[in-house]
Amino acid sequence: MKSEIEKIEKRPIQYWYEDGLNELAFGVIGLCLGVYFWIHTRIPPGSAWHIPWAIGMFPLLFFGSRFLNGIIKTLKQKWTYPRTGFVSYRRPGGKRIKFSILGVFVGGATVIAYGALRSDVFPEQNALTSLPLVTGLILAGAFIWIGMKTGVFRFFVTAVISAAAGIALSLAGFAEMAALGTYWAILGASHCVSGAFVFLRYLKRYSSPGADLS
Amino acid sequence: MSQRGLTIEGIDRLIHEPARLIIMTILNAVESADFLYLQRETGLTKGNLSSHLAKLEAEGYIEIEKTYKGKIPLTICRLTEAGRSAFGRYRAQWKSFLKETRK
Repeated sequence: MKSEIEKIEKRPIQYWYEDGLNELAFGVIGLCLGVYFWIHTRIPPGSAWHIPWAIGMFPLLFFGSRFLNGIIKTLKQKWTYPRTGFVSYRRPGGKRIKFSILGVFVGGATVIAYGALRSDVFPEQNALTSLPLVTGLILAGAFIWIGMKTGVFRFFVTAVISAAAGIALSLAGFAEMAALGTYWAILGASHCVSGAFVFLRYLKRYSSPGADLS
Repeated sequence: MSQRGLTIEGIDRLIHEPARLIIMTILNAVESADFLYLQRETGLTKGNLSSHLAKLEAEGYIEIEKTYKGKIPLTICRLTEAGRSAFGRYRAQWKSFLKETRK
């Protein structure tokens, strides 16, 4: 009985991912990050643009995520809610926000610490070549966590893609930001493909809007 | 509610009914949900769902807001504070009952 209740409680969370729009949005963010790191590789060494470009990533991510969140809401209102219903989610409590901030902090700190120690770990490689490995493994862990929390199987597949891309790019020995850019491009593209497939399947399954005739 | 000599004292029978239990569980997990979503999740007919929602509303466990989105009626349901605590109590009672039966 307890597990049945838990299964039912998971349904609204699963519903958020049912149309694939979130994966599409994450895929777009991933592709943008890929382009961002690729542009970084084009900045000449010693250029004054390196620091503002590196700092610029944070507002880009913040405002980009907010912008995409607005687009997701608009698309859900147009495509999802008329077909399968509207759900408004509870705002996360203080404890959950603290854990999320802690998770982001620990993840970021691990990447930075690994970056700082990288020359000891991979003395023969360039400093940043191992970052896709760490990023790939951390994000794989995050996808596994989301998959376990939501019960949505495809997150386990994206976890495998993330870990495999991170490991492969680290072993390939790409230079600096190019490896990170390629990693994000792969992750972004895989999410776009997965999201588009899920969205089309959703539209096929629920071809006509349902009417609330209560 | 008796099983092998065990009883669940004070169990909330309004929530204990399977369809209403699903409705309460879903609404407990979200801020609000509309009629269409609840109908899809419960698999109930419109009439049946309306009837269960009316019972829960009469008890003060849920609030129902009827509006329109364009020309389409929109019925938004959400748990009240009383409903949330009643559901919490129900879960605790049921959990303790299950624990007893496993002894």
